[in-house]
Amino acid sequence: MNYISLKFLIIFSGIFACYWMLPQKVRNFYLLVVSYILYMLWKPTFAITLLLVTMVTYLGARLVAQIEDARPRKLMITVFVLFSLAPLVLFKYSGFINKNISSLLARLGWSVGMPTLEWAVPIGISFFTFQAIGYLLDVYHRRCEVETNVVTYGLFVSFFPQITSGPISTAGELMPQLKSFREFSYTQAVQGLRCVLLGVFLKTVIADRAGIYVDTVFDNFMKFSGVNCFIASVTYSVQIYTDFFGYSLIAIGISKLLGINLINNFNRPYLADSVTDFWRRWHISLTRWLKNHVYIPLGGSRCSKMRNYLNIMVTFLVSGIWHGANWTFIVWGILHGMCQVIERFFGLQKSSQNKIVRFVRVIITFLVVNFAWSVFRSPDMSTAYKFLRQIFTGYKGLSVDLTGFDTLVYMVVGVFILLMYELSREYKFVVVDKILSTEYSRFVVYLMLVILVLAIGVLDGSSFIYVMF
Amino acid sequence: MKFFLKKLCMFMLLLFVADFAVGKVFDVFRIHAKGGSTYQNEYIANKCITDILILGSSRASHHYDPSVISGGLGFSCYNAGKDGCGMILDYARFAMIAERRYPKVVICDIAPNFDYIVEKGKDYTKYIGQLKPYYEKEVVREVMDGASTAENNIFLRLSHVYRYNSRIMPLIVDSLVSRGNTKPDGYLPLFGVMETESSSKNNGKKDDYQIDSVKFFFFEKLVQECKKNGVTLIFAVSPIYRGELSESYRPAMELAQKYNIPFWNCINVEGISDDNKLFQDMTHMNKDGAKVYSEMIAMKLKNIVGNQM
Repeated sequence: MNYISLKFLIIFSGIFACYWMLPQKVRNFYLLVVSYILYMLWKPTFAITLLLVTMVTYLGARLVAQIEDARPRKLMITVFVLFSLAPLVLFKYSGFINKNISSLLARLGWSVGMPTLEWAVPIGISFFTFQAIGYLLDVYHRRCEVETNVVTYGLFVSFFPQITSGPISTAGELMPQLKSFREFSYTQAVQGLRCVLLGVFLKTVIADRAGIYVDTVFDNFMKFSGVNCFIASVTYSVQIYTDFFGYSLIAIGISKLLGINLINNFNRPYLADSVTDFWRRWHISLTRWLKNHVYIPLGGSRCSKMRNYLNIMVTFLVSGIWHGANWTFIVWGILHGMCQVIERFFGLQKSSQNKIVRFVRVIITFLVVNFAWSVFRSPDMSTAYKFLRQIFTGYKGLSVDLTGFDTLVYMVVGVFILLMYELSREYKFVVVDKILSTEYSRFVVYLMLVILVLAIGVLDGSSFIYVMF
Repeated sequence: MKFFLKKLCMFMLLLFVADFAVGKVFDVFRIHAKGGSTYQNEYIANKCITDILILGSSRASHHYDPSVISGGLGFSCYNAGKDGCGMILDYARFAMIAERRYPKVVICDIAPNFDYIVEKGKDYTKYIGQLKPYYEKEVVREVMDGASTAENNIFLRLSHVYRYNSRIMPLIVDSLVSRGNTKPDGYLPLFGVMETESSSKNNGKKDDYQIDSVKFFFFEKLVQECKKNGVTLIFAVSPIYRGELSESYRPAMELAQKYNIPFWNCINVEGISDDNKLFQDMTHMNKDGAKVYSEMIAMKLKNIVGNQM
């Protein structure tokens, strides 16, 4: 179900009202039923995969928790993690694996055709699988207690605001909230509405506007100049950020309205002064997951330098693979890994105190991340290469085609507001806090945002980018 | 919880008031537009009274010179053609003009892709976007009910600002400057010349097509309204460079036959369709081509409707 729709607004109003009228002891069961119903609205059969992953990880955690001996415990966790990953690999990666094997065999003169399940990928499978496996591994490493209540655990995996595109919660932060008494809080509810409003603004005014221009250029980039292609690549960087950040804010906002706090997934990523810093600010919940369950178990930074570099590369290879079954995602992940290795080699992962140096590093980091996004967005590596080449060589006298520029103007209005907000948070502009200090001024700002959404937002029900992961 | 709901209701009330006020400001900009698409839309919706009305896509707006047509007949003529638009917008424009007075003659320049063929994505946004500011008109609500989503219609009903969604920039610019080279009679002349002669036949339309039920509904509705109100309706296919009529025109021809409507096939006119100097590109005539074609149309009109007028 699209969260930016009147239909969802009406449905959620009902969910909200019933939730707070119900006694506390049935609220989790109610949310579990609601989460499954909303998930099944995408496609009823998706719920089977969700249920399977939930039950496998629930049983696995309970069994692992009972075993004290290290070797059988390790064997058990390995088996259950592999079982939990199986649906993800089967649905999302089998087609990619088949295609590449078939291509390899075809070069040897063998023709092999195998059926795939790419067409049936359950929505959000990467997110809820990682969340469930994260819990399983936390129980294994004794970072959290095993959850015996199947309703609470089922809700942990399927909680509807976060199931399709995260944030990926840990058991340590979400489970206590699900098990505790939740009282309606005016402050929390207002924060929730504020997050939802900002999320809708980012998605409709910036992300979807940017998408119109990006699609126009990317779908026909050979007909556009290098300047247009560069503008489209920057616009895509804006699109993917505001789309994902917007969704995350809506998920956080809805959760707050239900008395639950989720982790903030973004912390002004394009103000990062290194790729290492970028990953502390972008998709924070995924970075945390990869750090806890891939990077640190491999040795992290507590090893030789070469081993550390290898650990970084493997971690970002996994990140690339997680995003999708395509060489473009894998190369994108490897690029980010390589940048971080280079930064570590030259000691650039630490921030500079010099404002000018920091400013230059922010620009360079943005450009590096921006070009990597062009690879990420391309349907294949050949197109990615041609697109990047067009940026550097497609100069038609520095001409700029004005097709689609009107939609960019609307987007710029939104980007300006976002930039002011982000800069004020990053550099602690006191004046912005003073402006927002009174209820009256906050109301005016909220009204302005809604009016802008109505005036220049794209309200035709487009979907979020990260839903496809 | 009560306090929260009270504040929420207060915010919603303030929002309705703000939306209404800002919407009214946009209405003022719209009404006082000096040029561009805003001026043309406003003129068609609230002012235009004409004897001869031209409807269609870019081929209508660039090919029919009202000053030539009306000069030959001595009656007023307005060109309401719009780039990239078809029957959904045409029907709405006709109906809005008819609210004041029915034209005596309507010429529809047929463009199958926009008039009745299914387009990729089946998105009617570009057709109905021009109509949203006029949502208070019954005919516009009727078109929106048929061509827009229920959710979109709810937004239009509740929000005055939403009626100007994605039109703020042209609205403000058009109210400040008189831009565009659209003449007061709606005609948009083209000035380029197609340099290269081509030997290939060009019909500009694909032969494998599917009828779009929504577009065709409004196409037929336009025909029925004209018949019901004594409006002489004519279907025309204006010249294409070395053009030939493709299979995709058949639905329009069958509709013309069904309702006894003249179908003027001018896609390949000797002296026009083979002269590249009268064209800016393969499917659009320039000012010179439009003049020659409009003179031809005026002659044909005189023969058919001269006595009735």
